[in-house]
Amino acid sequence: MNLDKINLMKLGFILLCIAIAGFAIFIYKNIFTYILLSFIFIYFANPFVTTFENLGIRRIFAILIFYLLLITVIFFIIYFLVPIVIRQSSVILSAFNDFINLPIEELNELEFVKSYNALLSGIDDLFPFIKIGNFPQQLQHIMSETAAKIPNYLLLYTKYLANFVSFLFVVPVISFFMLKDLHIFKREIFKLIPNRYFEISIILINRINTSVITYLKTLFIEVCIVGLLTAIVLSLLGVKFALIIGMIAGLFNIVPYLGPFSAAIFASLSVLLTGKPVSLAIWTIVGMWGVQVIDNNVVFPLVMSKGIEIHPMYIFITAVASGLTFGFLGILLALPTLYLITTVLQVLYKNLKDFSII
Amino acid sequence: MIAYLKNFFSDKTNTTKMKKILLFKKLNKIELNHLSQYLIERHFKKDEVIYSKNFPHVVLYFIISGQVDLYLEKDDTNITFVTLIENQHFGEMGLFNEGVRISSAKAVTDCTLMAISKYDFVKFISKYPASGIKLLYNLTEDIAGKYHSWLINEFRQD
Repeated sequence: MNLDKINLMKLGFILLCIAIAGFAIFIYKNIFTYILLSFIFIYFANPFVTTFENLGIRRIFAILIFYLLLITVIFFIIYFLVPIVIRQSSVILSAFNDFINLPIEELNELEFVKSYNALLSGIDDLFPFIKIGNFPQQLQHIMSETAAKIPNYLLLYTKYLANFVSFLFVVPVISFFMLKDLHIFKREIFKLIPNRYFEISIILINRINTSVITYLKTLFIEVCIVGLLTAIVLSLLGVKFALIIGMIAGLFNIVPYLGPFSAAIFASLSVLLTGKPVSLAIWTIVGMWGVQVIDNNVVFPLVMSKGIEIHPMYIFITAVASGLTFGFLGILLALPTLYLITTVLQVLYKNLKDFSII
Repeated sequence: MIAYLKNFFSDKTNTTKMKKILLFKKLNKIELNHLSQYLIERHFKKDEVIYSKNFPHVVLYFIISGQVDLYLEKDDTNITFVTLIENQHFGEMGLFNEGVRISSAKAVTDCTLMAISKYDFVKFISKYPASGIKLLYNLTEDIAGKYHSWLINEFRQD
């Protein structure tokens, strides 16, 4: 009887907890994204804050110094880089726009179309049985079709842009309080863990934390270095919009294999459509390939001591699948998510086995 | 606000409890307060296993109240080799090597422990090196004392 009463109490308590959790989800559902982004922000900010703290600065001041540095960097980007980026993007966009609206007779006068036609007639003379389509016209067709879809995309992303502005204010504020009392949150979470899982949870949280931080750090450094190197190499080659292509190459580098490939295609196309010679487009590809060689053989092994091996086929399938489901952002975010989930599962499996739980 | 007040008061209480722990004898109140941020309080019921042999070791425990048995399992029986009391500590090997536990620990009575992981221990030392030196000195002194007693026991047996 007494046992039944205890079980009933336990069941009632669990149901109450579920009800409270459900109510909390209902209340907080609109700011869930903010909290998630705050967590990502904390992952980025905490190593800097801890470094300042280790210099003997109090945590609250360490956080304030980090925020001040961040604001300075953002100001520097807005003041110096944004005007250059806008100028360079307008050059590329107007070149793309001119190309789309070009009549066929003028299309054939373009430098790269002439080279293409010369190459084509050469192939035709040697192998008359091979039929090759009109690539420049096909390209024009694809680009005009894509351009027609852009207004819809922009409308879709306007909603996100409005949210972005509120993110810009809310996320740093939530992150500030979370960063300040991080150890209290951590301690309170550990208090909730049953004794049997206490030690394993310490190991798991630490290892997952280390893996996630290492991966995000690697990703961030790689994006910056690939972007910077691409911009430098293209500037040396004489490409006028090197900075914008560098930024795109850096960002696309998040997606292995497909990213660098797409960035190289975009870069060479931009070179060709702005009326530059075919040789420059080829040198652009060679330059970007060189950056990839440096990234894969020097940067990546240096910043990431032990990488996670995922077969290129899985990477390709994941990128395509998430691209089809979530669009361009899906392609960009799918691979980091795949890497993070793989890491977490590996760590979880190993430790659950070590503690004889599975 | 409530969380802040709760934290304010709980820290004070922890420092008072911590002051009695042998390993913290050279740390002053401010240092204890810093260290308390890394300690997690755990409550174990009588006969509850704290950790088992061959589990990865990463946590050092301090006994705030109650008693703890360290034991080895042999032919389905537990052979207790030491019973620890209030203000003593156990599991320090986890701080220094990557291996697994060589013994198991069980609560003899209901007990309250404070735990620190080796990750937080390293963080504490990096952040507060002066306090870290004192803590490591105490820990070394304690291990040296245990080694000394073991040697004396060995010679007695001979």
